[in-house]
Amino acid sequence: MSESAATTTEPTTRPSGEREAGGVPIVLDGVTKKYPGTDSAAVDDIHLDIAPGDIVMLVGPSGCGKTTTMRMINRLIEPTSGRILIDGEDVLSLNDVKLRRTIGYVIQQIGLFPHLTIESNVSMVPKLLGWDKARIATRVEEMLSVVGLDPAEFAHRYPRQLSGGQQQRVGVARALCADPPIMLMDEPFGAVDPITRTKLQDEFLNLQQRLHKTIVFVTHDFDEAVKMGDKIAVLDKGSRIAQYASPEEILTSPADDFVSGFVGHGATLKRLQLERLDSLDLHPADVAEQGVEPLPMRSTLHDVLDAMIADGLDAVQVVDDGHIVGTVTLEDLLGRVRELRAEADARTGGAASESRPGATPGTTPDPELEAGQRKDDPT
Amino acid sequence: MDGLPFPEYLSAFREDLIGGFQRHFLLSVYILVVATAVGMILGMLVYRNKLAAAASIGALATWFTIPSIALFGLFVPILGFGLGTGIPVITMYGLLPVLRNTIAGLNSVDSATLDSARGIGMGRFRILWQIELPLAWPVILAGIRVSGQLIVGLVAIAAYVGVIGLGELLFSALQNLGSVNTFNQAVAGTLLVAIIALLLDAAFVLVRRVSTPKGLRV
Amino acid sequence: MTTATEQVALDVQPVLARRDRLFVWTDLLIPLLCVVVVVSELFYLSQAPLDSIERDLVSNARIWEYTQQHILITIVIVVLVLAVAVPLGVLITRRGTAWIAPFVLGFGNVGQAAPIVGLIAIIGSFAVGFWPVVLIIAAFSILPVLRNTIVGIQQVDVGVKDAARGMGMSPRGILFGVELPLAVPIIAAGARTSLVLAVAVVPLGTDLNAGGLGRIVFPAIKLDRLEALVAGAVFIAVLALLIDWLGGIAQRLLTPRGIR
Repeated sequence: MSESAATTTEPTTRPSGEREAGGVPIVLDGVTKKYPGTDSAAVDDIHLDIAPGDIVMLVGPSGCGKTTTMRMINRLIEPTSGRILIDGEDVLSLNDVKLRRTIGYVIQQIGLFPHLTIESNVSMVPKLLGWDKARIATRVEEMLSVVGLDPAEFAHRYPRQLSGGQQQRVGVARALCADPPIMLMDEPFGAVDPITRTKLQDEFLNLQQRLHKTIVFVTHDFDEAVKMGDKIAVLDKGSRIAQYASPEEILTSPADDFVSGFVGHGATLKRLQLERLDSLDLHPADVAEQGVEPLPMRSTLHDVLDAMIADGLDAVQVVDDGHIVGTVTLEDLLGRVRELRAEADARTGGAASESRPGATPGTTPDPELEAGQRKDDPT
Repeated sequence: MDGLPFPEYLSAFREDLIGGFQRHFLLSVYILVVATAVGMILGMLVYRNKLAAAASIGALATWFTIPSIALFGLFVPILGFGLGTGIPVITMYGLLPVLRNTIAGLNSVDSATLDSARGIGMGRFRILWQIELPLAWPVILAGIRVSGQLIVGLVAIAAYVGVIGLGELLFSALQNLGSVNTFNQAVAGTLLVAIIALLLDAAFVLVRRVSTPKGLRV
Repeated sequence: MTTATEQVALDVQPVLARRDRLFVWTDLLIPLLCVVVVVSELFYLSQAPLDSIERDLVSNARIWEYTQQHILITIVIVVLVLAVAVPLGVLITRRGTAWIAPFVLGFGNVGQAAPIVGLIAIIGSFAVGFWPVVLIIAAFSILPVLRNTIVGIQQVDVGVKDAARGMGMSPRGILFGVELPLAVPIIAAGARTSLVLAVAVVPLGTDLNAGGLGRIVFPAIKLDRLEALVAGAVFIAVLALLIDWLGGIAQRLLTPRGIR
């Protein structure tokens, strides 16, 4: 992660395909939490399978129980019933205090110890685990660098001397210091301004590409979920799982009205954020207008569409490594959307088209699109 | 120890006890009113100037640290025994909680509120009177309450420099240890002072309820 | 990996240390004032026309002896109070017993001296000496310090405590490593108040023969010797100010650097 005021922060996407797992699997098996004296359970019989190395986002409205669910994994809250297995072991059979030392924990309020130096804060868990001094010292330096804070400058400062963004980076460094295989993060970037938040998100994704930890990430911000998650669990009251799938799937085929309500409008545009130009075949370079700024190959389709609309274009050139490598047209983008829709329909048997907000008849200019739609329409 | 049983002591000395009670109560209230008035006025004068506020609080705090016994003793040669020393010294003690809370309360008014008041054209004095004081009132009242309790206790202590009130009973008991009425005097004195303190406190709960603006009532 | 020198932080400029220096020159004002006052008073006494009774009352030997007694009694009281109030405060703020806290906190200000006088008189009828005085005053001073301990522990930021628990600190580790260090400033403030209160109340126990500077003040009133009265008052005042000042320094030293 870096603290630089980089020009544009490239939104990172997760590479498609397999990843090495540096984390361990987590399984929530029929987990319930009911507080005495309340009518309904805060978490009602949740079943969740989290694959090693995945970032799983728990998204839902306030009060749905997502934070409660997360906090049961490290037993800050004890489940009323059910099992939670980390790498096959039932957490309830382990000593709770010792368990927590093997799980990274990052919260919204950050919670740095104000009376300790940054160094003491970050090295807390290794100290609890009894690492030797030299190892701790090197590790702390490493962690601070990894989150983009110069150890020489920051190690001996106190939390109140740091800005909010810096404090949150320290929070992440502290959670990573003992190299835990899993991490629990509860709205960790919520307490900073949107610009800093975007940076922190991007840098964290970069980090995760190297570390492959299993991460349970709670947020109420669906866009953050789409950006950060390998899988998203959309939660309703009682932590009922409305849908547990990849961001692509949720965007294209929301399972019910609750989920589409969450997805909100602009689902298709959001979907385009997850694709880059490299997924398209480009036209030869000369088909574009001159005097227009070409877009890098790494741009998301969302950015391409945005640029086209901004300048009123229907074609833009593409650069890669300094050379113009081709042209992309508006038609290409729409074609890709159709492909995605077809893929989604194939997966869900046509449900995707039905759940799309109704297209007003007569406004779709493309006969091909209409035909495709009619084909899928089960009358 | 052959003293009177407590209930009989009470009826035997009833007039003295009631007299002492009344004097103590009235004196406490009188001093509280003066301390409140001076404290609030001083607070309203200095609250906007950090240095002045800190200086006045600091000076009073130093005064406050000095035990009342010492302070009474210091002023006796100048102001004489009795109320001459008692009233000024106790009033000075009572100033600190009121002053501190007045300053804190007035400064705690939300700057956004103040800004909108100025924005719609309210003058300095009007803002103080209609916005800041009402909003600061709960805090100021809390300070007056603390001050009241303090004053009641100090009036008792001041008996040793001749301030007449319930303190006389207590010091008499103290100086005649083991005599027939020690126990009675001590208990009577302590109880009656406690009653005054409780009455004053109850009065405050009432005043707070009545005088807090509806919008602030928690 | 960018280094700090290459970075231009988008984040807001970090706030610099609030208090880099431990001591400021204004710290010396009070002790200086006290020294000046004491010296002046002693000088005055040596020059003033006092009769033999008074002179004996304020002889340097007596002053020194009573001051020592006064300090000793005060210290013992505060040590006792802390030894009882702080552990008790910790106990009351533990999870199982936290429900007690509001009752203790709501108890109001028993910090008046008046009830103490009454109690001293009553107990003094049966027992006199060092320990009765110490125990009575200590008993009255426990509540304020207990209250400060409870408030001090309760005001520790919830996020900090949650992070501590979440990362796997044991309950004991959290108490001694997080809660108490962060509660120290408030507990120390309570102890400081307790110290000054003790200095103030010890003279009231003079008739119990525990010693202290009250032995100058009260006889002076009875015998109507105003010079002695003032002298005794001056020394009590100076003692209170100095002990409060020391308490303030101690409070500052004990406060962890990060939150000073």
